[in-house]
Amino acid sequence: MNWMAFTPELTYVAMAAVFLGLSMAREDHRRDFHTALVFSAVGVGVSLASAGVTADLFAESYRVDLFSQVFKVLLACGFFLVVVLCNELSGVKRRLHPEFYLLLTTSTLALMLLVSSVHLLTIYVSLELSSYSLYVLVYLRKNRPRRESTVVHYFLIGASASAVMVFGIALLYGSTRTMYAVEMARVLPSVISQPAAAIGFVMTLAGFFFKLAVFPFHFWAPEVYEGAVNQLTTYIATASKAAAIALLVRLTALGDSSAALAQVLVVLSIVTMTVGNVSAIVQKDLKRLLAYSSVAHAGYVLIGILSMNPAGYAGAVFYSAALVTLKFTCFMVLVKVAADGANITVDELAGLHKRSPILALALMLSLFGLCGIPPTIGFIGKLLVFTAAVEKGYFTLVLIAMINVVISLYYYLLVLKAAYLTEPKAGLPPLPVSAGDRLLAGTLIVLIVGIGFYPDPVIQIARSAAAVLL
Amino acid sequence: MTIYSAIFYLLAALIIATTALAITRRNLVHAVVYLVISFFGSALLFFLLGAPFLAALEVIIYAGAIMVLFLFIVMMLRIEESKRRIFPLSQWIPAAVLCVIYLGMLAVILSGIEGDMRLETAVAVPAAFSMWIFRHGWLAVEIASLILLVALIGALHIGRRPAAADKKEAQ
Amino acid sequence: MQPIVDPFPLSPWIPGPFSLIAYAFAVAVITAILLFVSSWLGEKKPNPEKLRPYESGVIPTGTARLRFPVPFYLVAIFFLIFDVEGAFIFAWAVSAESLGWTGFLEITFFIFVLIVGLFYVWKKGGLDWRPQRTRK
Repeated sequence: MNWMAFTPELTYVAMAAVFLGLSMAREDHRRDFHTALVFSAVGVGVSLASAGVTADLFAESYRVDLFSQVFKVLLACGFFLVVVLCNELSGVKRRLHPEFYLLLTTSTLALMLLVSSVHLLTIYVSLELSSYSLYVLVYLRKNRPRRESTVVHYFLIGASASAVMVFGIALLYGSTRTMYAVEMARVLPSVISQPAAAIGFVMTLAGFFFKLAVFPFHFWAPEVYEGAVNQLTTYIATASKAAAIALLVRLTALGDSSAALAQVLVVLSIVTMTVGNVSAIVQKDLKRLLAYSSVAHAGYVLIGILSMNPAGYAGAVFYSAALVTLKFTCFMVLVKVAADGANITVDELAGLHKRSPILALALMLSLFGLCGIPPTIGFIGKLLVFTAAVEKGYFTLVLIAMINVVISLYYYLLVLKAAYLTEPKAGLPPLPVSAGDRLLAGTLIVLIVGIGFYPDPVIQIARSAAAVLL
Repeated sequence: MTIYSAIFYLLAALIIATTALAITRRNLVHAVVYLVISFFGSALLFFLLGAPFLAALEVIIYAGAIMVLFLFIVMMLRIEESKRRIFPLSQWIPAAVLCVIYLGMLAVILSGIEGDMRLETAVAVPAAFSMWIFRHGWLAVEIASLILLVALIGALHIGRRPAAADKKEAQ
Repeated sequence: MQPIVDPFPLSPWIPGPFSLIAYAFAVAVITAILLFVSSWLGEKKPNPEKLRPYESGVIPTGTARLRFPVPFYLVAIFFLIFDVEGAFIFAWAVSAESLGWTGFLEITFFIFVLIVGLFYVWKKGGLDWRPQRTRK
């Protein structure tokens, strides 16, 4: 077996082992932070180094290819960035910091295993590992009233989604007689017209609809985003979404001869983005607003996936990278403004452009990106996804998506208005922004605008990653 | 009707009846006992369909461990035999909606099957099952161990109340 | 790459229903006989002393439905988790020999992770019996 292809995962296994050890050692939150920083940086390096590797591992239930490696790099970067934000992890008891990093690591490990799995059993088990880690992580926030109810809601919705998914896997196995994706791609076109196979297929996707917060599994999003520690919310909004998109693309690519499947996804996409955008308008809490914005973006991503053409898949891959960058930038500003780890309302952003111009600029660009205003990475993502859908003739769908984009413009501008135009009631001191934070914010700004102007290299990577699946 | 289908329908009727009893009982302990019978029925069904290992797991894990957990919850909550239903009628409505969706789906699936389908009787003996899972699915087994580890950590932190709450209770 | 086509080894199954039916029948008959005989032969002269729950001679106080402290529940959860672990080990054990050293290493990693978990729970006081534990 080619263990070299498995090094990114092994790095995170080692990291989890180290943090399990540290959790039993003396309490020292600086040591925990620096260890996490070093390991996650190594993780990024190892993922980049193994980016070109292809291999079949574990009795062909695990496939390392360009598609999985691109997402692994994305996940490793997302994880690293979240760890960078954990510099002031004031929302979790210091005693529990090792556990916090441990569970973040197991969740990342699970997502990495997920994007490489090509066997339904492995896919399901990895998904559960990542979900379980997140359930426990949500609970770790200190001084949060009713955190049990948040966790229970999250868990119940997740468990229902898993139950639906397992039932779907059973139906799918019953009609195709295989659990291997490669084999399924061969068998599925001949049986997808049977109701059992088609229904099983859609139900199998339910687990990822839950991760991505697609209707009707989106109810957890606002509550969990609000209830989780800011850094964890960042993680849920970035890394875990990227992996869910990866798996939706990988699985949909198997069943892309089915028109019925596309119809179901069209309906889900429309309902999801409309529910997300309309609910986001009335939100006061910034994290709840971003939660509904995530729901809306899940709807846009589905447009790319349901196009079921190479352009659509490449668009979805690009969109996930854009989403990670933009959402992370938003949450970085949120974490810096809410220095004591509390939740902040939109109004509390007032006067941000005076308190910290660079953070305000980062927030503005990321909101423009989420909205899809050129020249940002978000605009290119939407453009790719929408053109793929138009290619397939989904004009009405794209029109509805456009209307949704206009609705979303309203609440993104409300946030911007708070940050740039509203004067704070009391004169707030400038935010302490360290040199590292400036560098991070600057890098993100350059990425958002830079890829917006010169998207070609990233689009090429997305295209060749998606081409692996076809 | 062969002897196997007779046993199958008998077991299926038993499972449906005991499960229905379990969700309608007002005494939680009775409900748990009915559920145990239902799990035993499922175990026999697995055995009948040629999965003895699964049948054993059903008894060990579901009828054994999980029901113990249920009993503990019942004992912890100290729910007296209440006049109230465990599930108020308002909660039956979404359940009924889900049931209708499920039945509709089942009807669609069944309508897609043309002609008779004969269930081939086959058995997966525990050793064969074991060979398969440890030869072809062992990555999933290792991931399962990590899930159990995370569950252990989660149970410890979520299940344990802060020391202050315990002190208050002791006073 | 040659995908593995349905590697699950299924052998034709002809269950012997007779043994199952005979066994079920025997269980039913013996239970019925025992219940009948004990109620037929037993004397029935109930009085309050006889109807009281037997507590090894100690007179019971209060109701049996008292509220259990949470640590018991935690132990039940830990039992469940290790029970599931046991299920995997059974699966390995039934064909341990034919799985060879590879299988041994696989199950070793599996058990090792769970032992570390047990050690963690132990170290963090999850196995402490006293309900009101005083932490520093």
